Amino acid sequence: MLGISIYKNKANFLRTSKLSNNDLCVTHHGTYKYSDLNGTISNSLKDIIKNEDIRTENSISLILDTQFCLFNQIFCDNLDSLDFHGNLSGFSDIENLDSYYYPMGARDDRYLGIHVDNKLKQKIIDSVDKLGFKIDGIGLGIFSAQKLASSMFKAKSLSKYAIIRFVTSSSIEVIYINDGLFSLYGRFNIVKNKINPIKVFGDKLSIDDIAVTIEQIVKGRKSLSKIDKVFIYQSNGQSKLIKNLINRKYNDIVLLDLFNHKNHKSLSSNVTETINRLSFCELGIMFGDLNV
Amino acid sequence: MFDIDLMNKTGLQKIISRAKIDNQKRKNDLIFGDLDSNNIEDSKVVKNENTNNSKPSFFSMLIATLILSAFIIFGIFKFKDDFYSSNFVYEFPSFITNSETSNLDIAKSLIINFISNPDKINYLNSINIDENLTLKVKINEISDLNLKQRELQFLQIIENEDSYNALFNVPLNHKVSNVDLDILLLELLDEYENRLDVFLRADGESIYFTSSGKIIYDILDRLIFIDNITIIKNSNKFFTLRFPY
Repeated sequence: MLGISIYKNKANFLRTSKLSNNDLCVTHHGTYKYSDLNGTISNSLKDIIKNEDIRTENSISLILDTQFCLFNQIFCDNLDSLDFHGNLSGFSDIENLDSYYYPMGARDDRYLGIHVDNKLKQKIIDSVDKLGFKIDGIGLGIFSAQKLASSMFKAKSLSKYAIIRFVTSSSIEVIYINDGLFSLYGRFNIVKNKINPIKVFGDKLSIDDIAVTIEQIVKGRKSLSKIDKVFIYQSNGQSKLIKNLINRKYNDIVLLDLFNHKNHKSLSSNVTETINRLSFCELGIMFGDLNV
Repeated sequence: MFDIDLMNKTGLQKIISRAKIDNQKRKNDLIFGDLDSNNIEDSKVVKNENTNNSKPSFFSMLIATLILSAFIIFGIFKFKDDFYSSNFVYEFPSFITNSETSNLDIAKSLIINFISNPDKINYLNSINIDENLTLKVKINEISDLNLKQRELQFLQIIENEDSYNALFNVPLNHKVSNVDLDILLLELLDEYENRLDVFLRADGESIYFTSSGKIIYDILDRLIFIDNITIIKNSNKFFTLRFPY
């Protein structure tokens, strides 16, 4: 199985093979850098197949950076009122958007809207089609990382947990899962240890839980009071907070390092290498069925 | 939690799935590196193994043997306690005690007694194994202890203003272990962090395990020759083991 996560200037890839005993082996992984998004879309798959000498695959899982998407929240009882919500929020006025609405929290009518430029999506599909590959699916960064946390880091056994992505050293993206239900999506800025919400969707209790949790992490608390665990990673740059987490064992804060999912100290000796490895967690959709 | 797939039809995505824990599912592993192509099977032809028909694994047999051994060992301790509690033991000590019992055996016997014997738990104050691998069991009562002869030789009476306390001071006569502490702690965390009957906590200097006497003894047995260990009693059923790391 081949998976590629697409960012503006780079593409991460993983190739896995299933063994006869159902264990999974990561046979190839790496990062290709490009000057812009067009270069990444047009060349990444072609370069990976050629340079990594991958011959036996004919399908691919793609993961798109959430930075390419727009998010909103709606309350909707039926399909007929979607247009109304689109008009109300202004998304209907933006052309060429593919809109997906995912249930959020315990209410039956709360949805997270995820909107992606369909021209961008089509360009990606065309680039894959051109090479004779089939697309297994297109996932989204932090939501795919949640799959890794669930399968490899045993998050599925937890009552309340969050995935935190450091988009940059001062900007974070969060999703919160409460009792198995997706309950919050948010983006925050951290300036001088103060947390400023940029965009947060979810019920009030979830927002409170996450606000307290982020504050505790920023302040260097080693245990969390509101939720069971936070799974944390960085997709770009090197946050001081992430650096401090490397080589330390916290019960409630876990680095989403696919290559060191058992957190052996000897594998975390190089801070830069460890941080570079973290962004591969966004290919977690490839490990969704694994039960470690 | 749902799966996001932007290849799906747009609009409301009604697929909701709560997290399910399938404990019966066979555990898989993740391996990194190149493979012998003979080991790789096309995903289309990989068949799920039917775990119901599989033979018992070596590991399950080992666990079963360990459980059986534990029952036998505790049976022996119960047998010993029954005999020691009567006068009979003093008349025929050689039948049930080994005159060459090591300090380590005595230390382990003391620990087990004071964290699992309901009569003795009441008297326990704390258990500590210091850097020199000397066991110190502090108790706040010296009457009705039914101590064995070999245990009495390590007993020190401490006189306070209004009461007598006691301390067992047992040098373990064992070398400090050079086991890889990181791996050992990871193994312990893997084993206990998701168990409902074990509470784990860490404060940056030490890791704390809170559980029943039996489990605390199992953990102590893994860490015993490494560093300073302290066990305190939370209640008559639960204890906290503190281990610095």
